[in-house]
Amino acid sequence: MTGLKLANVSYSVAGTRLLHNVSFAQRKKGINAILGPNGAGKSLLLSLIHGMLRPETGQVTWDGIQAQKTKLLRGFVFQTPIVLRRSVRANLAYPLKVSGKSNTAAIDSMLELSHLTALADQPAASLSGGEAQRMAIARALITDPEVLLLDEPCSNLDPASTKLIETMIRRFVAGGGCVFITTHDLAQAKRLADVVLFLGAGQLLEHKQANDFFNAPKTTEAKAYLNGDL
Amino acid sequence: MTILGQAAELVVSADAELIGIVGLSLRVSLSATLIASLFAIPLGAALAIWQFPLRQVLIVISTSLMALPPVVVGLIIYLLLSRAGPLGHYGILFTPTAMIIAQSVLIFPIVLALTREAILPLNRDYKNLLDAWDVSPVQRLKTLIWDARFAVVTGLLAGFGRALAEVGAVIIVGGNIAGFTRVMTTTIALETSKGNLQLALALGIVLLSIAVLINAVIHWVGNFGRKYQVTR
Repeated sequence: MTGLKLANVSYSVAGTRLLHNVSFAQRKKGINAILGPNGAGKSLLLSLIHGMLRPETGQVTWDGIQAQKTKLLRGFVFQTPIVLRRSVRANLAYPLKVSGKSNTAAIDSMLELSHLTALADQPAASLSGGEAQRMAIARALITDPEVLLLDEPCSNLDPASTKLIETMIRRFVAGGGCVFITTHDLAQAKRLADVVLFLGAGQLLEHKQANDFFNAPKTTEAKAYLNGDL
Repeated sequence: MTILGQAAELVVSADAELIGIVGLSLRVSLSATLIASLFAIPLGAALAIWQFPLRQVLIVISTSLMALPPVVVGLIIYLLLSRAGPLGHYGILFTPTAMIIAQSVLIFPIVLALTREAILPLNRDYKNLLDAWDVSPVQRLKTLIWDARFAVVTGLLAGFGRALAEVGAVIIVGGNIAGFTRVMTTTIALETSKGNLQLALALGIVLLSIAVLINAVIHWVGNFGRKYQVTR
């Protein structure tokens, strides 16, 4: 199968195993929500899927190739947006510059998509939390990645900012992109997700269509999580 | 006319001797700042970004060098450049070049430490992002130096100020030769000892004005740079 494949992936930090033998395969399409309580290993799994981290054991591959070798085909957006000490426009230009490209039209198009055209020449540090996160997503999209990985992109954002970010995500997917998103916002997961990966204590407990997960969770952990008890 | 009045007149009338001395001072100190920064900025950034063997040793040495007494630096450079020294055949002792070398050595650890201090927190902020984009080491170095540019410039100005105000090393390796290696600080020391307080005071006024100007620029650069720093 083409797409993402994890085979017996484990990862430890300072001797503590945070992910245990995670295995699954997923086609490269749609929106995949990674859910689970705090400390379940969601962000870690996202970093491994991206290729930013190398698994301690097991393999992460995209289309049969080790994730680390193709990580530039994927964009990553961190929970707290990392803002380069430059203007908004220069922030968007940076990934293009790093990859030896220059594309003013792409920058203008991303500024428009993220509703930041009016702020293009402002220092990015002056953006609000929502604006900074939109800029981070636009910056991740500017190199035209196949996959976008979002680590709780809407935590601490107001509903209007969340809505704008969800619109950006939907437009990316409508254009053929694939998204993996971690979130604690179950309403957001219901709105966006096609597939849910549910983690508990570093193990993949459920991997199914979003409707099936929300209507008929199988594991006690997933039931407790959806009830707000975990 | 009072001594202060005579000194002010020397400054206002742009006295040729005074202008020559100020010009040489600026040329020597600017050159030293430029040369020191060429090495100190990349090395300071590298020390902030990467872990490598002997990194801690280098940090301790460079920090210790900040406290180097200028006369000791002057003495070491003198021994290196004197006719009997290993670099004596270049014949640059008692020339502005020797003074530039001495000042470069003195301000190198200052610029290095201030660059490292500026880039250390920035590297922590950027690391994950730059790793995700697989940014090359050279590009990473350039990115971090550029984004820390306001703090780095502040470090350069501090180094320049230190060089300009320095007297111990340049008097040893420059020899304080009139019209050739006589800079503001060495002239002030000499003319004061001779009782020629007008020229000494005039140079003092110029030196103090430059120091105030440098600090004003440091302040302005700092304020401007803060606009680019995330405070959330």
